[in-house]
Amino acid sequence: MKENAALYKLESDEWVAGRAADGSVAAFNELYERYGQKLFSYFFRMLWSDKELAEDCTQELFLKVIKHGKDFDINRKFSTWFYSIAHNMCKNEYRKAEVKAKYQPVKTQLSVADTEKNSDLQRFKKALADLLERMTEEKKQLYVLRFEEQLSVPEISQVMNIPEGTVKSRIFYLLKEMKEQLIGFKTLHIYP
Amino acid sequence: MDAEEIISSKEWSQLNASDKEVLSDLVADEQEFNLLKKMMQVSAEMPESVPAVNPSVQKSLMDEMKPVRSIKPWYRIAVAAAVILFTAGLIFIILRKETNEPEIVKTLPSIQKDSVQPLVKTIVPDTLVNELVISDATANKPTRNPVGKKNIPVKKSAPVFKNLQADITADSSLLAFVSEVY
Repeated sequence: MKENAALYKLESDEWVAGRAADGSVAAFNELYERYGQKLFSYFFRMLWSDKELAEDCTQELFLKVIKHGKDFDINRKFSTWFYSIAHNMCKNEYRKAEVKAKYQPVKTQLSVADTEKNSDLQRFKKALADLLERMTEEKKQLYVLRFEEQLSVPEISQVMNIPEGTVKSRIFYLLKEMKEQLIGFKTLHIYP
Repeated sequence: MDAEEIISSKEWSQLNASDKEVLSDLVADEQEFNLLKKMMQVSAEMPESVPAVNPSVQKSLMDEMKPVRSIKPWYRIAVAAAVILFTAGLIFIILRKETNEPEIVKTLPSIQKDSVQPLVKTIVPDTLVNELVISDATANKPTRNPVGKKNIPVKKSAPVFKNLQADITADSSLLAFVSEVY
């Protein structure tokens, strides 16, 4: 078991995912170590900072890997496939109007450290979080995938199923829009 | 390099003319450039502020893995058993078919494999000749075996059939042979 776990650490995501779909517990553990917290973080950011909902979604996503891992196209990058499913799950959550209505009142409760010494920086973070919450789901997803999850433009193109050129232009206009919304911070002491 | 890459990878002082040209639609001055740069830096740190996922998620997923592991070998065994049964059934049907040959094949020795029957037992039913010595008739011209296409040597000492006007229905092997020929 320990040998297997060590072996899986050296293998690619795609290979490990294949073994996990075959029922290997060690492979599944390795996959969870690589993506468990990442996916939870993504769901947490996308779904109104709701920890419980993010955990439910994370669990559901990994269950899909266990049950439908064989459907994974080995020619595709695993992380992209994983985020695609997560992206669609978030869209489904947005469609659930009741759920959305339930969580909207707490949407600005993003955790910003209260002990932040630089109060201007703290305000800036709060303003940025508020701005993201006010954005449309599509813009927010684009922002989170690119600037928080650090996915590349080709990866985002596959996850969101839009051309790379469109991704680039949307990022450009998103930055422009955000800059205009946060322009009041440009003279504050938010820089190290 | 596009605008986003320039902002994330360079400082304002490092920008050349082409970089500034690319950024001209997005930022007007150094302050705006730094604002966007800071926004990207803060966003990259956001996942760190997210709480850790509850370990119970992994535990419950592990519990889901166990049934998958236990069901799989049974599924394989069932498939293997089905294949073996199907193959055995197929072989049984083929063998049975071979043994169930028509009655004529069993009763008519002349068409049995690797068997050469002496022509002396063969009767030509529609002949009008009362007495015929087959050995004499076959001595002058080659005899044809209706099935094997071989010339069968006829012994000169072969017995003579005298009663060629006998009713063919009386002899089942004769009837079978006539059926075979026609």
